[in-house]
Amino acid sequence: MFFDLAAFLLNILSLGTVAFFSGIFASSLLVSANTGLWSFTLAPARKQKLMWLTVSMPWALAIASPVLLALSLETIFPKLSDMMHWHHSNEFVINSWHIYPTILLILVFSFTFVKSCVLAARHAQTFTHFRTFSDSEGLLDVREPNAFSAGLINPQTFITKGLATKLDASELKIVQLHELSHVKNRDSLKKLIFGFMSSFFPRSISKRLQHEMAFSMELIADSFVVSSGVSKFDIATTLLKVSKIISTYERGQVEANIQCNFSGNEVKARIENLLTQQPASTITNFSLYGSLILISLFCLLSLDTFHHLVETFFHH
Amino acid sequence: MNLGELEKAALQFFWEYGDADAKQVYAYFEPKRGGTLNTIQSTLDRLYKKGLLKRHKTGYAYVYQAAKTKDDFIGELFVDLTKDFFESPESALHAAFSSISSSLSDKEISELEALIDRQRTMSDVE
Repeated sequence: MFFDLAAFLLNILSLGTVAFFSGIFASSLLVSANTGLWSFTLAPARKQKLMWLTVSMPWALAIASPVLLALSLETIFPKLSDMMHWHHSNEFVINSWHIYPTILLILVFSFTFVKSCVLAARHAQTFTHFRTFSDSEGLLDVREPNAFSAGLINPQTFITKGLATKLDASELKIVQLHELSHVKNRDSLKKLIFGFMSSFFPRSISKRLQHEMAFSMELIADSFVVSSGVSKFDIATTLLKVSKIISTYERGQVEANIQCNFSGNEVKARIENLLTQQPASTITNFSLYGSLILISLFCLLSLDTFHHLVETFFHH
Repeated sequence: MNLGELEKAALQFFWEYGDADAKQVYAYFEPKRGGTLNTIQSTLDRLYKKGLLKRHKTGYAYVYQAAKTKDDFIGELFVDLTKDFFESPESALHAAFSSISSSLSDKEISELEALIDRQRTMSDVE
């Protein structure tokens, strides 16, 4: 058993862990239920913010809970102290149930962190190869039609000759502007961080979050092209043309090379998003973010109840 | 795949000029980059061990040639890039312009073309 400062620090770690997992649980419910905040049709930029908040909530709770614990121990907040009801802050039994979620989080965090570092290193390496084998304007001398942006710190756009030679000047400009938007928004870096933060969720939830994030990035890039003065009809036509060029190329390959595939529905959805007027969302920022704060507070204040619930099955 | 600058330059050389032995490669690079024949030999050997060069013996010397075309090599880099930070395969290579679709059927393409034409006409009328 640990006492005093060591016990206090271990208790903080343990409390933060429980708060983190309760945040994961609440956020997962929010995403999987497909109700409440997620049922609103939000503009891509707002949806992105909501997704960042969703994946950040467990971390915010993990940090906020020790702060609440510290405040609840102060006699100047007697009501908070009653609510948090923290009754063994200066002792920590090493073989109690508290240690298991903490060990689990440390293991999951270490694994996910190392995995993200490996992915980042591999991406950086591939990026330097693309830079070496392309010209100063990012043109790659290969037949495969493709256009993309890559790079974490100094991202850059690339386009292959296989695609560039099949587009006219205005279509090429649309492709370049779209990719420029990804570069300006640092989407590769954002994806690395979002991928890391969403990895702590159950797989079905993290896949949905990542899919929604990737899709909103595409919609934002399309909007950027529109805001640059290009007709949305020309963008839609180019999108379809590029899809056809790639389909034709893939059909001509002995082994279908389909590593660059969003589903067909993605292209369809992007074209429809460009052409049709999306209904404006009625939800205000106040209710959107207020709801998230309320959910967070509920998670924090129910930690003691959760604590007692667990201890009907396990001892300290 | 980890490749040094000289390794990448050597690959470019083989894609451009076909096959060559270490002395020929050294003769090409020496005026541009300096270095020694030994450096070139070990670079080619590393590329061979990485599966990027093939070689056969002619007399006492190895003659090297690219094991993959430039298209195939870059194609593999595309695959590397798609193993990106999101698990979902359909969101791979997020930044690819078209969100590339091989699964749009001819019917879907026709429908989308009709939708674009219709909306464009309506917009012109307005």
